[in-house]
Amino acid sequence: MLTASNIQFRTRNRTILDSTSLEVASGQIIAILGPNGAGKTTLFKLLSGESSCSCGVVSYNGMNISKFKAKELAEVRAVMSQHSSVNFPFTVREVVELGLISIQPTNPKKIVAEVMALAQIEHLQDQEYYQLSGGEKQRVQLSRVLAQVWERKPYSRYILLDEPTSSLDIAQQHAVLEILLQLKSRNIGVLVILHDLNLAAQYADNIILLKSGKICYCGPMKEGMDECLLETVFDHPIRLMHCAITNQLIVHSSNKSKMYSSTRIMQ
Amino acid sequence: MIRLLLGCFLTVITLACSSGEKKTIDTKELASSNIITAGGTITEIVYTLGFGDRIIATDRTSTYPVEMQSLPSVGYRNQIKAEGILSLVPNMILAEEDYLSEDVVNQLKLMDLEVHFFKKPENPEETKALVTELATLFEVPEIGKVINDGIANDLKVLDDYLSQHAKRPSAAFVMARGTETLFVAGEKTFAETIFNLAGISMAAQGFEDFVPLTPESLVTMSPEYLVLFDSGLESLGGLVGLANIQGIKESKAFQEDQVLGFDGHYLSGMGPRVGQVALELAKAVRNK
Amino acid sequence: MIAPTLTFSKQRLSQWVLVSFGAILVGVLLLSLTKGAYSISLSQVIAALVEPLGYHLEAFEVRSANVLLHIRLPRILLAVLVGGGLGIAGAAMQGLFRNPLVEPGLIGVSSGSALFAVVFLVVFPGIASSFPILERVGLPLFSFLGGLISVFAVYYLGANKESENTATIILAGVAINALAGALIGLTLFYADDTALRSFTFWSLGDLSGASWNKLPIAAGLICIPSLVLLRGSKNLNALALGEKEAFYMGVNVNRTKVILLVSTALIVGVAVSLTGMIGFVGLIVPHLMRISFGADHRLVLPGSFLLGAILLNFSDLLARTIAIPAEMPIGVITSLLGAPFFMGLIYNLKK
Repeated sequence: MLTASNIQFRTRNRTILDSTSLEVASGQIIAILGPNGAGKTTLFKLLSGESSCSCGVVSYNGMNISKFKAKELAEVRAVMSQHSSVNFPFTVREVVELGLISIQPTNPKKIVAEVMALAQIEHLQDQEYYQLSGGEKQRVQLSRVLAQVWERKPYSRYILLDEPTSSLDIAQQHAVLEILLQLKSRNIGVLVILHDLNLAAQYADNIILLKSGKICYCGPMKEGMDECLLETVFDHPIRLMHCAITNQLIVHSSNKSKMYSSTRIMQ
Repeated sequence: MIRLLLGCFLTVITLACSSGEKKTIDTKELASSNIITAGGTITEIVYTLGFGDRIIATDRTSTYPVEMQSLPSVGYRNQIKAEGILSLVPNMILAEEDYLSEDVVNQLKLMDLEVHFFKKPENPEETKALVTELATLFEVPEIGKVINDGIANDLKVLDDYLSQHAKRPSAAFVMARGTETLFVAGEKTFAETIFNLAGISMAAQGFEDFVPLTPESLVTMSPEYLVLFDSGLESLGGLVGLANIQGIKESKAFQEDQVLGFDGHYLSGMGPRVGQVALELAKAVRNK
Repeated sequence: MIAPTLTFSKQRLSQWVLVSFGAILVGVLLLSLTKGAYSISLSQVIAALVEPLGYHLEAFEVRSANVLLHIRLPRILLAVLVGGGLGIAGAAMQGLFRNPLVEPGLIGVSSGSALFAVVFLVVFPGIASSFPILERVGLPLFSFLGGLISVFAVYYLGANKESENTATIILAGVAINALAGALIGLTLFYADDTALRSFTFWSLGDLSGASWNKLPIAAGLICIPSLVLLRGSKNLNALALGEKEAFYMGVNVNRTKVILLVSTALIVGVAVSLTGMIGFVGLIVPHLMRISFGADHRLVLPGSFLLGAILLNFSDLLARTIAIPAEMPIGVITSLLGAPFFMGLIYNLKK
């Protein structure tokens, strides 16, 4: 279990994140949603260990994050940032292998092969990273992050992702989120910041709605996807619909004038 | 790639094998020792003692006698390297103290050679001492005495001349290495010594060693005569070029055409001819 | 399965590369031993080398043996240490700053070291006579201090966590070079002491001062930090993705940074105190490694040491044979090789 109790982040001028508590269990996908400036990145940094807060506690599998050495933390959680630059001519394979540097896996070659197959980048493995397209680079980074926590372990591991679908096309977006689904069976908990509410609706088990540093909702996705709640959080009218074909929720928004003039469609 | 590397390696080994000839030192050569001198004064004295033919190479400041300039040169000051000296196969090295860099000195001492260092003379007394020292080394003390007597005689002639000419003009020595590098000699330099010998007062007062020449300073000092090395004058482009230097053309010395040039080694070497150059200088400033 | 075979052959390639470089280095050393102002043939070299071990060969000749053992051999070994040290330090710096244009000379570490070396020689002139051991250890260590201050200054002035700003790093280096150069010139101008050596020595480098009593300390103070850097190769690989990413992957970023900065400063400081500033070796060599064999620091670092040793020996060979019996300052040769290479790099970066 990845837990946060009463964590907050303040600067001299203002409170970026107000006292927050949440839990991420292994085998779950939890999506963090909210408008820009809501404090998603700050929350993310506190949970990943990049920033630390003076009060409140973040703990992984029961142990306070501050007690972990960097190496030990890497064995428990892996993080995928939104942007990653590689200034040297590494090959794709070398980048993926970097995920294993703090881990002593029993069969590194197998892990690398599996994660590359999962991310569908095997055909790229000898190419130089900087020659790839934006989408391909993101899949390589995902592959590296997966490799870090891929090996089955008796304890839970966690992957934190910051907008992993930002430069991917539709097919690739779903491919990535499908991969995250597969992690559930490997005793891995997933925490992902998403911008696209539809993707969250389709793949997340739980969602966290964040606005102005405060958590407005933390719980199962179905209950969280409420029109009033979403409108409050995003300051924009949102309508929810049911897609009969896929049996899934559709989150719809349009410009305000159109939204207010239409009649509400009941689910 | 591996093949390329192996190819390089083989080429390198082949080159290594095809180098150098064997050199053996003949015992006959040893007896008539090959000398390398570093420092113009030492070279001159060794030559004057009669052993000039044993000198196989010298440094750049050894310009007298003229034959020395046609010998191979080992360089100048700390540009002189040990291997360069050794490649000429000397068995004796005579050098001025503090002339070669410390590392070179250490390296030379490790070789099976005779290496001797001598203090550069700063006045005629020290010149005579150096002559005696070298004469003793070459086991010709009587020739040394002859040279020193000659020096003493020159100085006496100088003294007589000065006693007849009471005037004591002022002068400044300018060291020039191109128009961007100009220095004035202050106290505790060879210029002070040679000026004193020649009965000239130093226009440059109040500082020691060499100081960069500034336009105002020369005008303030207002020497009656300007003295330079011939090489320095040449590096400025002769008298014509000298006129273009700020501060020089405003000086009294330049305006009254009282600029003197002397050979560098002759003037500053403090060698056996020190008395002669002092006399020349003394006469030159009392010409008018 | 192709994947396992590839990894396997990559390791083999690394071994091959290092062994080959080692062999080339030995070859270059032999070549260097036979060339120079003083003529020594290969047979004389071998005879001179085995004589101290008790084998007397016919080719043995006293004078050439003396020149070889006391002048040339220490010089060549110094070139190996300094060339190798500058190579590996350059490679590590490029990894640390995440910037392929960084090298000790360009970012001011060399000039900071040289300044402190000159200051040491001015402030403690009597030490050589009273405590020779102190001079031998004190000079390189004080020089190290200068390099350390420079490298930390450049790092905290120029390297920004969020965005890699090449311009700021290089500008910080330019500023330090200018300041240090001026102060060195000033000190040399006013302090009239031959022990200070000339401005040319400091700014263009000179290997001719090598001697056996300087080598052991040089070897220790260059090889030990080099080994530390080699151990940090994996971390350098991780750092290449960014400090944040390296932390996520389990690297103790602050400790790694400090170790890298201190080790590179030590190597550069010691090298500069012995031979003056020799530029571009730390720039060219890691690049050649990366272009030929990929960016994995586990190969780039040891390869850079060997290649740097080869390059500097070769440059020194040219420096002392081009203008016999005089010597060209070695920095001239490395700059003639390095500056066009640098320009080529900049041109390629634009693409």
